[in-house]
Amino acid sequence: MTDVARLSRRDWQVHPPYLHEAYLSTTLRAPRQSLLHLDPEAAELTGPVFGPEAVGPGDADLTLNAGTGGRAIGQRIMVTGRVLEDDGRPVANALIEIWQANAAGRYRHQQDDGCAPLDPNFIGGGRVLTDTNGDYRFTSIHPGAYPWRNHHNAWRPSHIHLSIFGSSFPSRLVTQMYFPGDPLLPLDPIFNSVPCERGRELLIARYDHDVTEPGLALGYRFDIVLRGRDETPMETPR
Amino acid sequence: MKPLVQTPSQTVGPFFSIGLCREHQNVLAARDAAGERVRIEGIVFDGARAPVPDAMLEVWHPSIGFGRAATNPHGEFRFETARPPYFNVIVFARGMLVHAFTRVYFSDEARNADDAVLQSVDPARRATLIGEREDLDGRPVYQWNIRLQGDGETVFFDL
Repeated sequence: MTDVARLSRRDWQVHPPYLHEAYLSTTLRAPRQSLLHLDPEAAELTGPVFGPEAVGPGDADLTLNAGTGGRAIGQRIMVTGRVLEDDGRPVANALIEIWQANAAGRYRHQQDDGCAPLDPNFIGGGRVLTDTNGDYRFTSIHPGAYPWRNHHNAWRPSHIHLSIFGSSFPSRLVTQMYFPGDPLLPLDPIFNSVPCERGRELLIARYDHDVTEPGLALGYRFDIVLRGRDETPMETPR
Repeated sequence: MKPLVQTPSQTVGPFFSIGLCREHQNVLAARDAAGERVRIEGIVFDGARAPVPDAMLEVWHPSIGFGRAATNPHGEFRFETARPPYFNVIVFARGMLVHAFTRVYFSDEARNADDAVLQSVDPARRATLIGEREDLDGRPVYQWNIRLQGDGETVFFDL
């Protein structure tokens, strides 16, 4: 018997399907042919490696990184958590890229033609690397909800986009972090594209008063679980 | 140990460039990499044959490195790189709740005939993974379009 390191499969019990008709943009962008199964031996188990040079000073403080000298408007928040593989191992030096709307629900992007105001002191983008324990922490403001055109009176719940590089290329993940108690969550087709309750719960950050900084910022905890090694015992011929 | 539940994927949405396109990353360095310098370019199409202006591709090969390119308003993308045998590719877009894994191979690459992954693809769909070489002003350019859905749908992998 020997242990063969392989990557665990994508868990389709928790990941959304490509086609989720309530989210209209999926209807012409979802592949319709079945995915071609790749032999795990052929899976690419390497991936880009990021170090401290990927993240500059101030990248993890979105309230200040517009570089104007002014602070972003909004309820200041701290977001912290761990990046783990699904076998429980922490992922060190994982690059997390962050983007979000401002406190009024507007993105600083030329395609966002919403009527909410821009904040000159807020870009809405940031970066952070996990430490050797897989822990990360960034500072931002609570993003506003905003209307979108998916259906009548459609509003996205407050959310922060997170992009994460794990230890291999297939462990790549892009997700969205939501906030507890948001009344828009049951109405949002993107959040509800996640097919199981347990998966949806994992996308909602937990308010943690121990993370809250007195006089400064409300604290939220959001752990992220990537595909990891699947050590399957294999019979080897002698 | 009991496995943890994977965090579900969500779409990058339309405004990903704020977080993901801070630098231009579509020129892959790899000064020491073997292989000629080439361009890979194409258009991402949806199921109605319309270009997708808010998609992003990431490419990776261990000998070359990592690259990333967003599509422009015409759905076009471009990479400048040394040429590996193939690139692993991830496709992200507004309207894609989960990213899609594919590969791009090169039409004049002799090793294609021995590549187990490429040879495992239905011959009728194999061309969707192959960039076709053209020489423009003496420079090799591989034309590779991605069709997310419908006729000529690109082969995506359950990887």
